[in-house]
Amino acid sequence: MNQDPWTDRVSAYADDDMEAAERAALEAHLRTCAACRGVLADVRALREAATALENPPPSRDLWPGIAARIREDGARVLPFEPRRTRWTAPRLAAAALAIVALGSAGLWLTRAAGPGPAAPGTPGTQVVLTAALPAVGEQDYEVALERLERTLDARREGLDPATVRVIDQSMAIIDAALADAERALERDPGSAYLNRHYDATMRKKIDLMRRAADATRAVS
Amino acid sequence: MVSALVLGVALLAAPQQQTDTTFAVNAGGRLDVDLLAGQVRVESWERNAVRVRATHDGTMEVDIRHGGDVVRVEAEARRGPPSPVTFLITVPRSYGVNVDGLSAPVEVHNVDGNLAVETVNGPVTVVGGRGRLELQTTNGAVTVRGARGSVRVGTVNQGITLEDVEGDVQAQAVNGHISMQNVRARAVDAETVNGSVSYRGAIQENGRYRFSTHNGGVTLHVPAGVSATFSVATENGTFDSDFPVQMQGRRRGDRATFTLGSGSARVEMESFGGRIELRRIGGGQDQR
Repeated sequence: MNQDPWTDRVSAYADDDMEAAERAALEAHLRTCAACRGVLADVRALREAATALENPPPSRDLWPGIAARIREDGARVLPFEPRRTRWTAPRLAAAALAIVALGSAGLWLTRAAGPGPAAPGTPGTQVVLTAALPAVGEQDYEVALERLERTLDARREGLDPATVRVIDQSMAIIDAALADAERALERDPGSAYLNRHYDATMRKKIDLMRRAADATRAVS
Repeated sequence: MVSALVLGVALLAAPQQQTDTTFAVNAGGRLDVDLLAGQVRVESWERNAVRVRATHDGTMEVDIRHGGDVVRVEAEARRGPPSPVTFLITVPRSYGVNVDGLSAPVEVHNVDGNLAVETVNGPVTVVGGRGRLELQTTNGAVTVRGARGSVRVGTVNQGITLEDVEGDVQAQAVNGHISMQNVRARAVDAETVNGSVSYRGAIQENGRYRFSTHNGGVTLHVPAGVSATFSVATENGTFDSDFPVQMQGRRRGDRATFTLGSGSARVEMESFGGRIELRRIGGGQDQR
């Protein structure tokens, strides 16, 4: 593993969630490491995007075209629940990584509850284009997950029952952990630990789904 | 463009067939193995040659190709569903190895090149070696012993065991324990959802270490003279330490920090619902 050990700390730095000594050390590192400066710039862009979610809706409503494309794909458009958690920089970064992991490309779209034009069939949902972000996906995070879940359901017959059982059990374990974390976040939404824990667990879910999809491809 | 040389092909129908072929190669090449079912064991020797031994039935075809610095071994069904193939392959010690399996336990012994193993059903075991390790399975344990090189391992179901490893570690599990004994690494990232995480080893100056689980304990055994800044986080769990620590610095959420020695390394210990323990090697609570 050759990753710069500071890379994982840049998000905390951007969140001002860092002791003074470590902050000073990281700032010294940033002066000499272009890669970490780039990560910091990305994280700050993500934070700005998070801030934008609280702002008035974009100048044009992008949802109709997106919804049409999703319908063309045969995807079921789910009525989103109102957002319950804050889009912290780490969470946005995790979501971006998740969509990259899902292998999609195109625009970064995310959604936010609150005022603004509701998308057809999705009350209380607003789609925001954050053009400053790198191209990571043409669908919403949750929609991407939903699609992958459907793909797995459709192809699970190709896997042997023992593998399916392991995947189902593991998914249930992860979902239970996510539910624990969600409940804790409802009590303490500002907890940096809980937010990061939730994101890490969600990444595990996505990784498991990706591995399961790879397995189905291997046997097909 | 190096033309491929077909060295061995299928044997005809019989209850069990044996393939056994040896051919010369250059040092420093790579072995690629691809199979759906069976098992793979790769060993090394001091010769610049590769020996492939395979046991299979007549429905399976074993294809061995050598071109350039790559030896490719594949098992495919001639007809019907694939049946298991057992491989025992010997390569030069300097070789790298890639194994891609579906339902196949994999073992690699004393190979110094980079290793990449991915299977769905079956454990993955690596003993010795000096290359970079990337080992993934879905349903099976991952075990690494005596390796010298970075280790990146993952499993969904069952545990991860690292013993006598020198090199940075990334270990990811979902339903299983992660056990690291006698690890010498400047960076460790170990995370599971349902299982404990234990670490016994050095904490190097300026190192970065993270140990995390949702449902299970986190136990670190570190030397008495450890120098690190520790961050402890839990939602429903507890923390206990052999060291006389005082939680210092600000708290955010349920995270607390304290420093031992100069604190140059950073150690994060996280368990949503389990017990977090910091033990001194040789101390009263130290139990192997």
